[in-house]
This record gives sequence, structure tokens and C-alpha cells, in this order.
Amino acid sequence: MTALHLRQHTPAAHPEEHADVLPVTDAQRSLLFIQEAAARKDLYNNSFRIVFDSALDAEAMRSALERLVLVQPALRTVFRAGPEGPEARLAREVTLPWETAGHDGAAAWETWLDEQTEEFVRLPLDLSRAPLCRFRLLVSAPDAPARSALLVTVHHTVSDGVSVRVLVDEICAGYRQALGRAVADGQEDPAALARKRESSLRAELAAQCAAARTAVDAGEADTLAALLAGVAPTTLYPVPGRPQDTSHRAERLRLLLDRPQRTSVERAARNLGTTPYELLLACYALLLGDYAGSDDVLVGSPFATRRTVASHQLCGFFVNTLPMALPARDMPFEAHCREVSATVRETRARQSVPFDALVTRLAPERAGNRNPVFQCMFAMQDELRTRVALTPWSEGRIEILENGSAKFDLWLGATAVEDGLRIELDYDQDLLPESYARRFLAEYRELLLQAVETPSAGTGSLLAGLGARRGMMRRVLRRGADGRPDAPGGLLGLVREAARRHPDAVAVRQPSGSEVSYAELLRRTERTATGLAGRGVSRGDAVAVVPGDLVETVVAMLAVLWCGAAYLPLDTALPAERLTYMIEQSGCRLVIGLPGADADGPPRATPAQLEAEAGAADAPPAADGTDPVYIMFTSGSTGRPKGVHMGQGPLLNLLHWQLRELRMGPDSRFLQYAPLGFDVSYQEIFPTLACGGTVVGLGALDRRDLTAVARLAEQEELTHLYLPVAVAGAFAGAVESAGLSLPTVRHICVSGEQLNLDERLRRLLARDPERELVNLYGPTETTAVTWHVVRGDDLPAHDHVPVGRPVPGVDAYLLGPDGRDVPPGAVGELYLGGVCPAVGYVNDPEHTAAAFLPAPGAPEGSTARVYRTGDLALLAEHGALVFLGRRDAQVKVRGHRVELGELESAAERLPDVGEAVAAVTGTGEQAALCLFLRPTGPAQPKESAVRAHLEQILPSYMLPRYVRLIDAVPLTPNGKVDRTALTSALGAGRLRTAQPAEEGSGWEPAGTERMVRDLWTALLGTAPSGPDDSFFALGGNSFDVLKLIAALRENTDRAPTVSDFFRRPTVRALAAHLDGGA
Amino acid sequence: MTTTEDVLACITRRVGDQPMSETSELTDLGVDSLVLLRIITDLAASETQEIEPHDLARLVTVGDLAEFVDRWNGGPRP
Repeated sequence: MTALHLRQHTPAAHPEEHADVLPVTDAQRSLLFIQEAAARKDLYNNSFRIVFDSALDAEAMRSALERLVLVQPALRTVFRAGPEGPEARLAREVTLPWETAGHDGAAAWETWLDEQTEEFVRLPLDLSRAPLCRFRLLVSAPDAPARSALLVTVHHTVSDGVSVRVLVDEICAGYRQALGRAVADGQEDPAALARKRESSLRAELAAQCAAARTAVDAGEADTLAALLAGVAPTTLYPVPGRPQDTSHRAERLRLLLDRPQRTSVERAARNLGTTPYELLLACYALLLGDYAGSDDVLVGSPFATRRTVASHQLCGFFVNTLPMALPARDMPFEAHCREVSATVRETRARQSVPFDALVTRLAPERAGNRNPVFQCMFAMQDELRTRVALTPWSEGRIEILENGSAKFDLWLGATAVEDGLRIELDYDQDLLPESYARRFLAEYRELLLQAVETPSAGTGSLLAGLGARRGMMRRVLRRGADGRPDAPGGLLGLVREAARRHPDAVAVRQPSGSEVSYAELLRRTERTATGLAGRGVSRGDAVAVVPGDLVETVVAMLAVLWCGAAYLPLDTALPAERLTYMIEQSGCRLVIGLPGADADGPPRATPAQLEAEAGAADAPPAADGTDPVYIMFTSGSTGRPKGVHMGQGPLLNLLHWQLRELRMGPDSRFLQYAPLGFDVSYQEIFPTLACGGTVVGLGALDRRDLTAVARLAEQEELTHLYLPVAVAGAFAGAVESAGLSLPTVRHICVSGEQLNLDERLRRLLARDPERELVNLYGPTETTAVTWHVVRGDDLPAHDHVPVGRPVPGVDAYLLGPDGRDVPPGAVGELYLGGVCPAVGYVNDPEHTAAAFLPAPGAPEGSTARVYRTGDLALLAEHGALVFLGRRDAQVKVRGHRVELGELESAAERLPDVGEAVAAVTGTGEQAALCLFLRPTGPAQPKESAVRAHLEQILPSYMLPRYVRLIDAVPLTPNGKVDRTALTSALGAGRLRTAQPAEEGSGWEPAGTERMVRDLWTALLGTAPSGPDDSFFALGGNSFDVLKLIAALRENTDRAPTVSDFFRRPTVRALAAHLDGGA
Repeated sequence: MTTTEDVLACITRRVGDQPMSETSELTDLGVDSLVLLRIITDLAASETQEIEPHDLARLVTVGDLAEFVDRWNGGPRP
């Protein structure tokens, strides 16, 4: 360390104390704030090194650096906090932070040089102590070839990109001067130069401060802010769990465009009437838009703000970084470039506007330690001289150094160098995976070179042609050619083959009840099919099956398939209106499972009747297994459910996948948990019967009593369970509470909605690392199409479990609004093709045509189709699809798919309801449907009437928990219904109920009834209006039941079981039970 | 030398010798904003002279640049 006493060289211009005070620019203030706030104090180190293949005169170099600190006054700046903000002064006495280090020869010179460099660039600088720079001279071992390197760090508050050139020039000049060559080179006296430069620095800083004030006073900050307002943040790779705070760790990726390529870029820029900077920025904006999935992106870029001519000889921080809202829409590239140029010029015209003035005006949501307003940066450096000659025999290589710090999510830098154009990409390692960043950089190069070659091409087609993404998409998402969508005789053929191989094995079993062998199952199926044929059922028909005893139900399903018909599961708990609609829409010929007849409906028969009717008649030949299998109804946005008509191909393909991936065989014992009207029931029954395993029913158990289900799984030694996501956590909790271990259960499949791995599930998996939790995804229109396995020995850090990879046979497409593939890591809408799409919606060509579309890129005349899911997802870098919500108003409430529009249109059928808005509040087990009603006129709809009406036409899971009245439907700035505003108002208790005070006035509960009523009201937030209101009609769900039972246990010694409660879901019945009367 | 001659000479020094006239567009000659800044510095009469950075964006041709330098230096030189 060398102490420098500069006072005699650079006396203060004025004797007063304030003469050493320097103005502080707004850009410096911003940087000082970040420096203070950031945990990493080396974040804004500007470092470079000059590497020589020769020895340097260390004393001459020290002298050169002393001169540098003397003649570049910005280096002698010290900052301190003042009463009105940061203050800056020029230091007159400084110690040169200089050291030399000798190579000991143990490691190779290059290795040692890099190690030294890596350590050096991370050393923080103390901004309260001058000078704000540091130097280290590295010299080779005495007996090795002569080599040396000078390492330099200067803080960004007193330097910028242009400063590197200035500093290098000064070092060269000083070195020559120290070697006695200064006079010959005509160098100025350092002291005189220092005085002149101090004056220039003061003038430049003052000019910058004045320009900033003038710009703000002239309204330029408002103008710039208006250009940025309303543009969504450019967020890359928005996977769940993306951290708000990062540790600012960056990796730098590099590529070099060679000289001819650089020339092409420069020529194209000239031809387009732009600059290379604007052309490079235009490509960056376009690619960012593609990766972020938005038509406009926010990109920051530094603008050189050196104002005085003399400032170009100064080291200093003379840049202002400003955000720009740049287009990323589909248009000819040349037009895109023109738009980008116009924005750059508009911003440059206001480049004195302080960034902080924009932040104040835009008031962005400040979450975490990321840069406000923009998180993607583009910087183009002046042409960098990469070689420098200190003396004719000492030529050095200049290398700009980075210290692995990420100031932005993504930073793209371009520097013209002798060899061409260097492109560098820094990415925040906490936010973006390396492969993502590498692909971005490779695609940037490809896009740039294509765009300069064909600037008239559309931006969309340029993006679509990028090769780097296609490999990953093809490898991971397009599995259509790998499917196995057939089997001799179709699904029934597989079951018959299993029966032939395992005639005596138990095919279907009801605990403590009936069970049937494969041989018997087949015999009964044949007889029932004969009965069905006798009733005229044949290929292409639809036959409803009302679930009853599991053996009989399975026999009925197989018999329907034998005839080449499709089965329609019919849950008689549904409202009559809905059942009638389903039967009519499906064109059902017969209902199996209900005795008697209905004059207005199709004929009915029990399986036993059908078998009896068959008598000794010959069975019809079994269908060839090419006809549709089932019809399952899903919620429809237009107010009517839609019947999905599912063919053999998708189901066979899924079956083959399931047998392989879930390792199913004759020893498999699969629980039949799902209601038959859910397509999951197919996966429980058919694959099991195809491999000779046993389907085990719930028997008399209520599926909502999860403890009982868990006991059953253990007692029956089940191997496979398939549960709705909504109950998976509670099931794991029930297993734990009951002290069970489920040693035989190897696979727990879940689906229905987004799986978030809670602690209960984590513990269940951790206890048995061999057990697999299989998260499946797929709408009813395609069956399950993707899967992701979680094991206890490899639990993910984040709770949001991906939906995984497509099963073989499925082509998945993630498309943007323009129908193009979005790149991996970007959010797109999921379309599903290959073998998985259903036939369509039964007898509904209009909805079928709207939802089942020609496959993207399919050749002319192809019949390949895709189903448009409306689900948003992204392809994560590890090759799994991540579900990110819905494009529309479809929601999942505890696994049930609910089109909010269906609930809304059901409510709007009431004359008193002018407009209805449905929404969901809470998530997972806490999710509750809300219905907001705007009355038609002065007459207020009554909640009891609304509920009674909805109960008539909607299944219980679609009944709202909350019904509230609103005066007007709030809209978002984009004109969409603002459901968040409504649920917030509900949460804050600001909305009035649709329950007039006089309603229920005749009911004055007392004693146990009152206790139950109060517990119930506290739980649901809605008071029953009478003693016979159903808990479920008021929006209660099975989880609420568990909570209510727990609360009752605390208040009485006679709490009901879950089954008891489901039999008595009213206050009156429950109170009677508690009082011992029932 | 006239201002235009000064400007032409300076451009040649910075981006190489090539055919150019008052109507030549700066971008066609390879003069981007950073090169322009250097040319302006070369042509400045005084080191304390301020440059309004966005003024430079309005300079399209060699003639525009010559006019700018003239205005900057207090009118055309003889």
C-alpha cells in the first residue's frame, strides 16, 4: 500500500471547506441505495484485467496507478450519508490500494491467474473510503517464462463502460511517463491535468444534475411514465416457487459473431435505417416477448449521459438506465425494427429523466430484492479495443471481468470487438436454469442472423423457425407416434383374455360381500349381453348404467361393451332435471340398474332381469372392440353439461401405459374409489381386469370417511389407490392418525386439480420411499395424458407438483394466442393430440367442432385432431409440464370441474336475478364457491329460493357456499368481471346476504339445535334459515363435515360418525342424533 | 477548411475513407451514436461545451452534422 498525499498537487480550487464537495447525480443516488440495500457489496464492481506475455516494471506500474488516481478525480470520490441524502467529496489524501502477487509455479499460470482474478473481482469496495478502486499486479514465477497481469476494480458509482477506455489510456500514459518516455510523448504535467480534470468533473456532474431537474420540470418524466404504464412486467420462467428474493448469483454465457456476421448486422441496420444497437435490441425484445408470452416487454438500457465535451476524457458514472416498453408482436421484422427505433429515440430524447422519477410515478409492486419496473437489460458497449501496448515490447490483452453477480433477471450485452461482435448473457441462477439461458442465447444468435438475412419476414415466422427449442419440444411433448391404441377385441378382448389366463382369480370383490372370479364375471357378462341384445341394444347405442353393487355394475359395463354400445354412468343423486338431460342428450336406449319403468324415459332393467331374459339363448358375437366405450358428462360453460363420447383408442393406450408404469399384474389389487361418472373409475377397473388383478370396492363404506378407507386399504392389502387431489392430504393424515402404514400400497395415483404436496403427504411418502405418488393430469375429453412420479427418497423442494410428461401416444402442444408453439419455459395453452382425443361431445357437433380442432401443422387432408384444454402450462427445463391455471372461468372445487358459467346461467334463470357472477374463494380443501347476484329490480332474490332452485338443477358440488347481493358487477380495467374484487369484498364482510331478516323468523332454535346451528354458522359463514336446511345445500363440503364433527366432539360426548352425518345433514336431524333420539 | 470539410475529414478518420457528400446519411457511412459522439468531441471548439445528447439523434446526414457544428460554434465559419 502506498500513501498518496495529493494536496500539494491538487489544492482545492477554493480555500473554503465546501470546495471539495461534488454534486451527486440521480443515477449515483440510485446506485448508492442499491449498494446500501444489497447483501452483496460487490454487486457493482466494474473490473477488468490486462494480461501480458511479458514482464512489467512493477515500480513503473505503481507510479502509473498513482498518476491515474491523481488525474482521474472521480476515483477519489468518497460518499457518505448526509442529512438530505448521500453526499460526495473529493479526497485529497488517499492510499493507493495496490499489491503485487507472485506466482509460485505450483499451478499452471492460467489457472492461477483465473483463481486470483475470481477472488479479486469479488472484493467489495468501501464507498466511504477513497479511492473507489483497487489494483493487483500478478507476476510469473522467477524461473518461468515472463508473464504478468494487472487486475483493476473500480466501483460503478464512479465509472461506466466508456471509463474503461479512459482508464486504460491513462494507465498506458502513466506507465510510459514512469519509464521516462513522457516528455517524448508530449504528456501533460499530472498536477495541472488533475486540476483541469477536477474542474471538468464538477462541471459534468453539475450539468447532469441540472439536466435531470429540467427534464422533470418539463414533464418528461410523466411522458416517459405514460409510455410504460400498463405494460405487464416481463417475467421469465414463471414456475411456481420462483423466488422473490435472489442471492444475485449470475453466470455469464458468451458467443462471438465473426467479422462477416458483424458486418451483416451493421449493413442490415443501415438498410433498415436503424443503428446496430437498435437492431440488436429489436431482436432481444422479440425473443423476450416470446419467452415471456407477452406482446410488449419492458427492457432497461443504459443511455450515455455525458454532456460536456471534456467528459469524454473522464472516468465517471455518466449513464442513466431507463426502461423502454418495446413491441414483441407479430409483424414484418423491418416494421418491428422501426417501432423499436422510434421508442429508443423517444426515450433518448428524454434520457436525462432520473430512473427514480419513473419509479415514483409508476409505483410498481415492490416484491423482493429485484430491480423495480424492469428486470431485463440490454447494454451495448462502445467498440472495445482488446489490445493495448504499454511499450512497444509490452502488448497486453484487455479483458472485461464479471464477478458472477446478477443485477437483473437477464442481461444481454453486445460489444463490438476486433474479431466481430461479442454477445454476452448474464442470467440470475436463482431464477433461470442454465439450459434455459443457453437456449435463449443460441436462439438470439439464430434469430439475429435470420432477421438480418430476411428482414421482410414476419417476426412470428422467424420465431417459429428457431431450431434450439424444437428439439426439446419434439423429444418431450410429441409422443403421438409412440402410442399403443389397440388390442384384439378392444377393452373387452383384454378382459376376456385375462379371464382365459386366470379363470379362477378374483376379478371383482366387495369387502365383506360378494366377489366374482374371472370365469364367473365372463359368464355373467355374456348372459347380460344376451339380455341386452334381446332388448335390441347393438353397436353404436348408448346404455345408462346406474352404479349399484360393484360386481353387478362391472358386469353391466362389460355387457354393454360386448354389444358394441357405450355405457353412460348415471349417478341418481344428481338432480332429476340433469339426469333427464343426460339420458336424452346421449340418446340412451336403456337404463341398467333401476327397477320399474318410467313412461317418459327409456326402458329400465336390472342386471338380474337381463340375465334372466337371456335364458339359454346364444350370446351375440362380442363386438370387435372399435366402438366408443362410455359417455361421461362434464360441466359446460353454457349452462348445460357436455357428454364426452370416448373411443377405444385413447383408453387402450392409457391402459397399456398404466399396466407398464404402475407395474400392474395378477397380484394388483386396485381400489374402486371414484364415482362411476368420473373417468378415473375407468382407470381403476379396466386395467386391473386386463391384467388379471382384483378390483376391490368400497362396500358399505362412505368414500368421504377417509379413516375407514385407509383401514380398508390396509385390511384388503391393496396395491393401488387412485384418489382425488382434494382428499389426498386428508387421506395421508387419516393414515397417520389411525396408526396405519399401508405396507402393500405401492402406488397412490392422484388427479383432479393441482397437487400441492403438503406435510401429511410428504410424511406418508417419506415413511416408505418405495411407494410412488403418481400425479396424473388430463381432462375428461382426453383421459389422463401426463404423469409425474414423486417418491419419498426424492421429495421435491417445492410443493407445486408438475403434471409431468405426456404418456406415449399423446402429442402435447403448448400454444400461444397466435397458434404458435411457445418456447420451453413460457406459458402456453395446452392442446392435446395424438391418440387421446375423444370422439367428441355426444350429439353436439357445435361444441365438438369448437373444442376438437385440426392438429397444428398436420398435412392437408389429415384427420389428426387436438383437444383445446383451456389449461395454461409451461414446459419446465427438467422436461415436465407445470400446470398454471385456467385460461377461462373453469375452476376445480375439490376435484370437481366447475364451469362458473354453468352456475351463473343456472342462477340467471330466476326472474329476480339480473346478473350472476360465480367465483371461488380459498384454495385446496378450503375452496368454496361464491355466487354474487345483481337483482333485476327492487325485488331482492331470496337465498332460500335461490338455493332451492339451484338444488333442482345442479349437482351438490356446484352449489355455492356463499350467496351475496351486489348493486353492480365490478369490472377490471380490461373490462372483464373482477372476481377478485368480489371475493375480497366478501372476505371483508362488505356484501349483504340474500337472506331477508324476516326469513326463518319462525325458527328459534334452543338447546342442542342452537348449539349445532351456531357451530354450523361459524363454519360456513352462512346461517341455516330453518332446521331442515341441508348442510350441503348451504355449500358445506366433506372437509367441513370433518371440521364440524371435530367441533361437535369438543361440545358433546355423542359426536356422529361421517356416515351418520351424511345421513342427517340438517340441524334438526343432527341435534336429534346428539340428543340420542336417532 | 469549411465546417463540411472538417466534418468529412473527421468522419474519414473515424470510419475509414469512402465516398461521401453532404447528403450522405450517417448510418450509411457506419456512424452510429457512439461514433457520432466521438466525432462531435473531435470537432468541439471548447471542452466545456455541452452536448444535448438527444440532439444527436436528429442528425441524419453529413449536412445535418455540419450545420449542428456550425450552430454549436456560433455560426458558419468563412
